[in-house]
Amino acid sequence: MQPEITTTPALEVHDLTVAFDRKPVLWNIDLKLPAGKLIGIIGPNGAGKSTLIKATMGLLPLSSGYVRLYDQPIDNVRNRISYVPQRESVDWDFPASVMDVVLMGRYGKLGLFRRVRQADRDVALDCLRKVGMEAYANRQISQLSGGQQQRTFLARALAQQADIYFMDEPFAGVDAATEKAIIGLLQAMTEAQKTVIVVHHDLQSVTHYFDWVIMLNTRLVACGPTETTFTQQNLQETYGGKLTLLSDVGDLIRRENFPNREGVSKPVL
Amino acid sequence: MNTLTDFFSFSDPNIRFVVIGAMLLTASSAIVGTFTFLHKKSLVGDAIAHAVLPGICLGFILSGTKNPAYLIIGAFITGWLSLAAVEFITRRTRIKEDTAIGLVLSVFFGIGIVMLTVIQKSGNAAQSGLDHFLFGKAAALVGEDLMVFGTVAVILLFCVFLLFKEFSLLAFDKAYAQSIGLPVRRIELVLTSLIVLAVVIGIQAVGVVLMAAILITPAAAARFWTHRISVMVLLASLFGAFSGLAGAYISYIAPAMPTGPWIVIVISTIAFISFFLAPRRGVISRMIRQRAIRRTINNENVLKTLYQLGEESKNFFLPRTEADIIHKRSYPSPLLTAVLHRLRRQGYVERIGTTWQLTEEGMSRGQRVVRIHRLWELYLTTHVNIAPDHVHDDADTIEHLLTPELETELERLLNYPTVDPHQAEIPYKKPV
Repeated sequence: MQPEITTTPALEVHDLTVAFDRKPVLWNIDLKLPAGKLIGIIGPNGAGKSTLIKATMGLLPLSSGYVRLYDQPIDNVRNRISYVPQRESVDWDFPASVMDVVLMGRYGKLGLFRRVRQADRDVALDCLRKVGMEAYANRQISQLSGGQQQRTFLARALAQQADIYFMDEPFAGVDAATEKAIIGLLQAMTEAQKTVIVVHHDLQSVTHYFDWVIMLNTRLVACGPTETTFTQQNLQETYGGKLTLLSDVGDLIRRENFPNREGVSKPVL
Repeated sequence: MNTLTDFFSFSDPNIRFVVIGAMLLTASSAIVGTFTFLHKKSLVGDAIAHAVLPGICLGFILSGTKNPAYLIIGAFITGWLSLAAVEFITRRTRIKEDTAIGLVLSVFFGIGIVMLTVIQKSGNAAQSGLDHFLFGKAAALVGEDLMVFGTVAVILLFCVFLLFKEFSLLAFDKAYAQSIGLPVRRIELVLTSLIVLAVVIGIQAVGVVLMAAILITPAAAARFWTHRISVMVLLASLFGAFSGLAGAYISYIAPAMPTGPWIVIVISTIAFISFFLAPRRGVISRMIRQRAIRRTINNENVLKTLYQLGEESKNFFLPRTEADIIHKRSYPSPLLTAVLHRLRRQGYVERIGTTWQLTEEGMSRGQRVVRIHRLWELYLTTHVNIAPDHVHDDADTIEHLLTPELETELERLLNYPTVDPHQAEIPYKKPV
């Protein structure tokens, strides 16, 4: 189903199952992603798109399976990954400036206890320039528009100087100019061999934006290059066919307090 | 004798102990409290404050003395237990966090009161004064207490200094902190321990019941004045220290007055003042802005009416009586007079006898309001598909709000139209 990737995949997900309150929201996902591609994750509401990237980054406990980045466990390569959470996931009335938020992107490199240095400020300012926000460096984040908030988050991710980027709906609620600016930036990043994985909602722009697509609906429907994967049939299966039996069984597992796996559910490595 | 100079000369060692002790306690609680507040854990602070009481009693029962070190250890243990209980209940049952906090707070406090009563009835002479932990005993601090408080305060400050950026990031965006590999659980553990420590020493000053006030209120007050965490921490500690000083002073000049509760009253007053007076976020500042907006709206509405009268008679500079204006659009008469006088002072109208006449500037501003109103009506009907009879009220608001940039954008988007959906002419400035 999935084309073989000859080089080391940027990301490999093997038999990944994630459950909330015991009910599986992602079933046995297997996929390999190549480096240097702009990759979209699409699927209906509740398909587990955000869950997939969070689980991949180790932010959620796994019921089964494992994740490898550049053929290593995630905790060995934390400094090579970068995360852009959903804009609404934080309280923007927090007492911080745009610069403060972008500097957070340097904290991983700095490590515990260390203060922010001038070099970090330079990097942060440079990243702000890339997203067209350098004029807003000292602006309070409570005063930003939706598009500016998103650009700020993007600048923070860039400041990490990572190799693989996970972005959760970076185009949600932003203006057209911001969307265009962001996609231009992401394409430039993939040309520099960065891997960018984006949770995306707008089906119309999929073929323009993404080299690869992951089509998801609580299970993996398809994963591959956009031109061969983003087909009518796959779309139908992703959006049309809700597997009622699958979600009924999920509900049953929760109701009966069943474990997702027999025996100990430690990730197998 | 002058009590003020007596007090502030600090020549009496008792005053010195009380003042320094109270300020240390309130300032360090305020600093830790800032992060409690930003992590949205204010209620947790209150739960810990109540939950340390059984620990203090237990410390006393086991050690048989009121040595603060034992009491603090006991308090620390039950304070932590209460948090673990809250987390356990929230995770393992369907009970939500606020209910869990309420449950744990009352159960621990209840057990504490029972133990305290038993101790008091036991006839142990050493127990006298243990009930101070309920309402604090700031006025009775002695040198020995100061040593303990001072040490704890230094530990708190040192930890906050070291982990400042981690605490801030965690408060703002925990998932992100996790993604970059920060040891989130351990940092949270440290912060929680700091809260417990701050509470444990803070209750010596104000007691279990009022502790949440000196933990959270300084931060809440400071938030009104600044948008920067570092400034907020500084302000909160200053507010805290000032309330400690003021509480000590008040109970000095009026010995019947309790220190702890006065500390809380002072810090609450600071919070109230901030709530009303702070620039931008304060209530009064908001009211002033609202008033300015209402004035602009009234001004522009009268100018708009004068302009529309001019449209009807094809002469914008005819003098109008107030009755003419009210006939076109109803205003309460005294309001209209007041607005017209204001417009005269601002140079938008002239007064001729009992009549009013637009100046060039007034005509131009009235025209702009009318133009935006009609442009917006057109935009809503053509671009947003709203029925022409529904667009008037929207446009009445937008006409006072639109910036010149958005106005230009609107004109361009609609391609400089000449009539609105009701076939009224859209007026433009005459080219100069």
